Amino acid sequence: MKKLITFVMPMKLIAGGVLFGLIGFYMVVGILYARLTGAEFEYSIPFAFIWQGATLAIAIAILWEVFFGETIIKKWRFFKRILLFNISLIFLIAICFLTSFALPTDWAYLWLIGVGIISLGIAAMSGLNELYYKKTGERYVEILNAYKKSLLQ
Amino acid sequence: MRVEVCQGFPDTAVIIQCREVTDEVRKLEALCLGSSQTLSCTKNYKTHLIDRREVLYIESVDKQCFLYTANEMYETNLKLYELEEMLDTAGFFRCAKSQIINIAKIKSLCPDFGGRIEAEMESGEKIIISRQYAKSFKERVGIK
Repeated sequence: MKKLITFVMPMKLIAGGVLFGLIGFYMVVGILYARLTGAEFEYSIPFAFIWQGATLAIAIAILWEVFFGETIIKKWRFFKRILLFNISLIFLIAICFLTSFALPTDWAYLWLIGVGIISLGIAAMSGLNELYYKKTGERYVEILNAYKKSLLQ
Repeated sequence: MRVEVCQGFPDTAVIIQCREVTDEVRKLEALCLGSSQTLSCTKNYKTHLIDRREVLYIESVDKQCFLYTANEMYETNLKLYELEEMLDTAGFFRCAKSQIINIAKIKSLCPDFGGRIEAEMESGEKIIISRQYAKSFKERVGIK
Protein backbone atom coordinates (compact mmCIF):
# COMPACT_ATOMS: atom_id res chain seq x y z
CA MET A 1 0.00 0.00 0.00
CA LYS A 2 2.83 2.36 0.99
CA LYS A 3 4.62 1.56 -2.28
CA LEU A 4 1.43 2.18 -4.24
CA ILE A 5 0.95 5.58 -2.58
CA THR A 6 4.58 6.60 -3.17
CA PHE A 7 4.07 5.66 -6.83
CA VAL A 8 0.65 7.27 -7.34
CA MET A 9 1.00 10.57 -5.41
CA PRO A 10 3.78 12.17 -7.50
CA MET A 11 1.99 10.90 -10.62
CA LYS A 12 -1.04 13.04 -9.79
CA LEU A 13 1.09 16.19 -9.79
CA ILE A 14 2.85 15.26 -13.02
CA ALA A 15 -0.42 14.35 -14.79
CA GLY A 16 -1.93 17.70 -13.75
CA GLY A 17 1.14 19.56 -15.01
CA VAL A 18 1.15 17.68 -18.31
CA LEU A 19 -2.58 18.33 -18.91
CA PHE A 20 -2.08 22.01 -18.16
CA GLY A 21 0.88 22.02 -20.55
CA LEU A 22 -1.08 20.22 -23.27
CA ILE A 23 -3.93 22.74 -23.08
CA GLY A 24 -1.51 25.67 -23.06
CA PHE A 25 0.47 24.20 -25.94
CA TYR A 26 -2.76 23.58 -27.90
CA MET A 27 -3.84 27.20 -27.48
CA VAL A 28 -0.43 28.80 -28.19
CA VAL A 29 0.35 26.63 -31.21
CA GLY A 30 -3.21 27.02 -32.51
CA ILE A 31 -3.11 30.83 -32.25
CA LEU A 32 0.36 31.05 -33.80
CA TYR A 33 -0.60 28.68 -36.61
CA ALA A 34 -3.79 30.64 -37.29
CA ARG A 35 -1.89 33.95 -37.32
CA LEU A 36 0.80 32.63 -39.65
CA THR A 37 -1.49 30.87 -42.12
CA GLY A 38 -4.47 33.20 -41.86
CA ALA A 39 -6.72 30.30 -40.88
CA GLU A 40 -9.56 30.82 -38.44
CA PHE A 41 -8.92 29.68 -34.86
CA GLU A 42 -11.73 28.92 -32.48
CA TYR A 43 -10.90 30.11 -28.98
CA SER A 44 -12.46 27.15 -27.20
CA ILE A 45 -11.35 23.66 -26.28
CA PRO A 46 -13.54 20.70 -27.22
CA PHE A 47 -14.57 18.52 -24.25
CA ALA A 48 -13.18 15.44 -26.03
CA PHE A 49 -9.74 17.09 -26.00
CA ILE A 50 -9.96 17.55 -22.22
CA TRP A 51 -10.72 13.91 -21.33
CA GLN A 52 -8.47 12.51 -24.01
CA GLY A 53 -5.74 14.95 -22.95
CA ALA A 54 -6.23 13.86 -19.32
CA THR A 55 -5.84 10.20 -20.36
CA LEU A 56 -2.68 11.06 -22.31
CA ALA A 57 -1.39 13.08 -19.32
CA ILE A 58 -1.92 10.06 -17.02
CA ALA A 59 -0.08 7.82 -19.51
CA ILE A 60 2.84 10.30 -19.65
CA ALA A 61 2.84 10.55 -15.83
CA ILE A 62 3.02 6.74 -15.58
CA LEU A 63 5.97 6.71 -18.00
CA TRP A 64 7.65 9.48 -15.96
CA GLU A 65 7.14 7.64 -12.69
CA VAL A 66 8.42 4.39 -14.18
CA PHE A 67 11.61 5.94 -15.53
CA PHE A 68 12.32 8.66 -12.95
CA GLY A 69 10.36 7.72 -9.83
CA GLU A 70 12.95 5.25 -8.42
CA THR A 71 10.15 3.03 -7.10
CA ILE A 72 10.44 0.62 -10.03
CA ILE A 73 13.82 1.40 -11.61
CA LYS A 74 16.43 2.17 -8.98
CA LYS A 75 19.93 1.92 -10.35
CA TRP A 76 19.80 3.37 -13.87
CA ARG A 77 21.81 6.37 -14.91
CA PHE A 78 19.90 9.52 -15.79
CA PHE A 79 21.09 9.38 -19.43
CA LYS A 80 19.59 5.90 -19.91
CA ARG A 81 16.37 6.96 -18.18
CA ILE A 82 15.88 10.08 -20.30
CA LEU A 83 16.67 8.29 -23.59
CA LEU A 84 14.21 5.47 -22.92
CA PHE A 85 11.61 7.91 -21.64
CA ASN A 86 11.95 9.94 -24.86
CA ILE A 87 11.61 6.86 -27.06
CA SER A 88 8.55 5.68 -25.09
CA LEU A 89 7.05 9.16 -25.29
CA ILE A 90 7.46 9.30 -29.07
CA PHE A 91 5.82 5.86 -29.35
CA LEU A 92 2.94 7.00 -27.15
CA ILE A 93 2.41 10.16 -29.19
CA ALA A 94 2.64 8.21 -32.46
CA ILE A 95 -0.09 5.86 -31.17
CA CYS A 96 -2.21 8.91 -30.29
CA PHE A 97 -1.83 10.22 -33.84
CA LEU A 98 -2.59 6.86 -35.42
CA THR A 99 -5.78 6.52 -33.39
CA SER A 100 -6.62 10.27 -33.48
CA PHE A 101 -6.63 10.21 -29.69
CA ALA A 102 -6.06 13.49 -27.79
CA LEU A 103 -3.94 15.00 -30.55
CA PRO A 104 -5.64 16.46 -33.66
CA THR A 105 -4.48 14.54 -36.73
CA ASP A 106 -4.73 17.51 -39.10
CA TRP A 107 -1.83 19.15 -37.25
CA ALA A 108 0.06 15.93 -36.75
CA TYR A 109 3.25 17.15 -38.41
CA LEU A 110 3.34 20.20 -36.11
CA TRP A 111 3.09 18.00 -33.02
CA LEU A 112 5.68 15.60 -34.38
CA ILE A 113 8.10 18.43 -35.20
CA GLY A 114 7.57 19.91 -31.73
CA VAL A 115 8.05 16.63 -29.89
CA GLY A 116 10.97 15.68 -32.17
CA ILE A 117 12.81 18.96 -31.53
CA ILE A 118 12.26 18.77 -27.77
CA SER A 119 13.32 15.09 -27.67
CA LEU A 120 16.46 15.71 -29.74
CA GLY A 121 17.34 18.73 -27.58
CA ILE A 122 16.92 16.74 -24.37
CA ALA A 123 18.91 13.80 -25.78
CA ALA A 124 21.73 16.10 -26.96
CA MET A 125 21.89 17.97 -23.64
CA SER A 126 21.89 14.79 -21.57
CA GLY A 127 24.53 13.31 -23.92
CA LEU A 128 26.81 16.30 -23.31
CA ASN A 129 26.07 16.08 -19.61
CA GLU A 130 27.02 12.39 -19.65
CA LEU A 131 30.38 13.21 -21.28
CA TYR A 132 31.04 15.81 -18.58
CA TYR A 133 30.11 13.29 -15.87
CA LYS A 134 32.46 10.69 -17.38
CA LYS A 135 35.35 13.20 -17.25
CA THR A 136 34.48 14.20 -13.68
CA GLY A 137 34.22 10.49 -12.80
CA GLU A 138 37.78 9.90 -13.99
CA ARG A 139 38.97 12.65 -11.62
CA TYR A 140 36.94 11.11 -8.78
CA VAL A 141 38.53 7.69 -9.41
CA GLU A 142 42.05 9.15 -9.17
CA ILE A 143 41.20 10.73 -5.80
CA LEU A 144 39.44 7.54 -4.67
CA ASN A 145 42.48 5.40 -5.50
CA ALA A 146 44.71 7.74 -3.49
CA TYR A 147 42.25 7.48 -0.58
CA LYS A 148 42.12 3.68 -0.84
CA LYS A 149 45.91 3.50 -0.59
CA SER A 150 45.72 5.44 2.65
CA LEU A 151 43.07 3.07 4.04
CA LEU A 152 44.27 0.48 6.49
CA GLN A 153 41.71 -2.27 6.44
CA MET B 1 57.77 -0.20 20.17
CA ARG B 2 56.85 2.33 22.84
CA VAL B 3 53.85 3.16 25.02
CA GLU B 4 53.12 6.81 25.68
CA VAL B 5 50.86 7.92 28.51
CA CYS B 6 49.04 11.15 27.71
CA GLN B 7 46.67 12.46 30.36
CA GLY B 8 44.72 14.64 27.93
CA PHE B 9 43.74 11.75 25.60
CA PRO B 10 40.03 10.91 25.76
CA ASP B 11 40.54 7.29 24.70
CA THR B 12 43.25 4.70 24.14
CA ALA B 13 44.57 4.78 20.57
CA VAL B 14 47.09 2.68 18.67
CA ILE B 15 48.96 4.46 15.91
CA ILE B 16 51.17 2.48 13.55
CA GLN B 17 53.75 4.65 11.84
CA CYS B 18 55.25 3.12 8.73
CA ARG B 19 56.80 4.04 5.40
CA GLU B 20 54.47 1.74 3.48
CA VAL B 21 51.69 -0.74 4.20
CA THR B 22 53.36 -4.15 4.08
CA ASP B 23 51.97 -7.56 5.05
CA GLU B 24 53.69 -7.25 8.41
CA VAL B 25 51.93 -3.97 9.08
CA ARG B 26 48.62 -5.55 8.13
CA LYS B 27 49.27 -8.46 10.50
CA LEU B 28 50.07 -5.99 13.25
CA GLU B 29 46.89 -4.09 12.53
CA ALA B 30 44.88 -7.33 12.58
CA LEU B 31 46.47 -8.21 15.91
CA CYS B 32 45.46 -4.84 17.36
CA LEU B 33 41.94 -5.15 16.04
CA GLY B 34 41.58 -8.71 17.32
CA SER B 35 38.29 -10.41 16.60
CA SER B 36 36.59 -7.24 15.34
CA GLN B 37 38.01 -8.04 11.89
CA THR B 38 35.22 -10.54 11.43
CA LEU B 39 31.49 -10.19 11.29
CA SER B 40 29.12 -12.82 12.55
CA CYS B 41 26.32 -13.58 10.12
CA THR B 42 24.13 -16.44 8.98
CA LYS B 43 23.41 -18.28 5.77
CA ASN B 44 21.16 -21.31 5.37
CA TYR B 45 20.71 -21.48 9.18
CA LYS B 46 24.49 -21.73 9.70
CA THR B 47 26.59 -19.09 11.42
CA HIS B 48 29.56 -17.78 9.49
CA LEU B 49 32.38 -15.49 10.52
CA ILE B 50 33.28 -13.43 7.52
CA ASP B 51 36.19 -11.07 7.08
CA ARG B 52 34.75 -7.58 6.94
CA ARG B 53 37.26 -6.70 4.21
CA GLU B 54 35.44 -9.15 1.95
CA VAL B 55 32.15 -7.29 2.31
CA LEU B 56 31.22 -5.15 -0.69
CA TYR B 57 28.15 -3.53 0.77
CA ILE B 58 25.41 -4.01 3.33
CA GLU B 59 21.76 -3.52 2.54
CA SER B 60 18.72 -3.33 4.77
CA VAL B 61 15.54 -4.81 3.30
CA ASP B 62 12.38 -4.86 5.43
CA LYS B 63 14.36 -4.28 8.64
CA GLN B 64 16.70 -7.21 7.90
CA CYS B 65 20.33 -6.56 7.02
CA PHE B 66 22.14 -8.45 4.28
CA LEU B 67 25.89 -8.50 3.70
CA TYR B 68 27.11 -8.92 0.15
CA THR B 69 30.53 -10.30 -0.74
CA ALA B 70 31.77 -10.97 -4.28
CA ASN B 71 29.97 -14.32 -4.47
CA GLU B 72 27.80 -14.70 -1.39
CA MET B 73 25.03 -13.02 0.51
CA TYR B 74 24.67 -13.34 4.29
CA GLU B 75 22.10 -12.21 6.84
CA THR B 76 22.85 -10.49 10.10
CA ASN B 77 20.73 -9.70 13.12
CA LEU B 78 22.48 -6.38 13.63
CA LYS B 79 20.64 -3.21 12.66
CA LEU B 80 21.99 -1.00 9.90
CA TYR B 81 22.83 1.85 12.30
CA GLU B 82 24.72 -0.60 14.54
CA LEU B 83 26.73 -1.82 11.58
CA GLU B 84 27.31 1.78 10.53
CA GLU B 85 28.72 2.67 13.96
CA MET B 86 30.78 -0.52 14.08
CA LEU B 87 32.26 -0.20 10.60
CA ASP B 88 32.61 3.55 10.18
CA THR B 89 36.30 3.54 11.10
CA ALA B 90 36.89 0.43 8.99
CA GLY B 91 36.40 2.19 5.65
CA PHE B 92 32.66 1.70 5.37
CA PHE B 93 30.30 4.53 4.52
CA ARG B 94 26.53 5.01 4.74
CA CYS B 95 25.69 5.74 1.10
CA ALA B 96 21.88 5.64 1.21
CA LYS B 97 19.06 5.26 3.70
CA SER B 98 19.27 1.49 3.40
CA GLN B 99 22.87 0.84 2.35
CA ILE B 100 26.42 0.90 3.67
CA ILE B 101 29.26 0.63 1.20
CA ASN B 102 32.86 -0.58 1.58
CA ILE B 103 34.94 2.23 0.09
CA ALA B 104 37.92 -0.07 -0.46
CA LYS B 105 35.81 -2.21 -2.79
CA ILE B 106 34.71 0.61 -5.08
CA LYS B 107 36.20 0.21 -8.54
CA SER B 108 35.01 3.44 -10.13
CA LEU B 109 32.88 6.48 -9.46
CA CYS B 110 30.74 8.53 -11.80
CA PRO B 111 28.54 11.49 -10.85
CA ASP B 112 24.96 11.43 -12.02
CA PHE B 113 22.12 13.90 -12.45
CA GLY B 114 20.67 15.35 -9.25
CA GLY B 115 23.88 15.23 -7.22
CA ARG B 116 23.98 11.45 -6.95
CA ILE B 117 27.14 9.40 -7.46
CA GLU B 118 27.19 5.99 -9.10
CA ALA B 119 29.74 3.64 -7.57
CA GLU B 120 30.79 0.53 -9.45
CA MET B 121 31.95 -2.20 -7.10
CA GLU B 122 34.75 -4.68 -7.81
CA SER B 123 32.08 -7.27 -8.53
CA GLY B 124 30.62 -5.05 -11.27
CA GLU B 125 27.52 -4.20 -9.24
CA LYS B 126 26.43 -0.58 -9.25
CA ILE B 127 25.51 1.21 -6.05
CA ILE B 128 24.00 4.68 -5.93
CA ILE B 129 25.36 7.12 -3.37
CA SER B 130 22.28 9.25 -2.82
CA ARG B 131 22.31 13.04 -2.95
CA GLN B 132 21.79 13.17 0.82
CA TYR B 133 25.06 11.32 1.46
CA ALA B 134 27.08 12.38 -1.61
CA LYS B 135 28.45 15.53 0.03
CA SER B 136 29.81 13.74 3.10
CA PHE B 137 31.18 10.97 0.86
CA LYS B 138 33.12 13.55 -1.15
CA GLU B 139 34.43 15.12 2.06
CA ARG B 140 35.48 11.73 3.40
CA VAL B 141 37.34 10.70 0.23
CA GLY B 142 38.74 14.20 -0.36
CA ILE B 143 36.91 15.10 -3.56
CA LYS B 144 36.54 18.85 -4.00
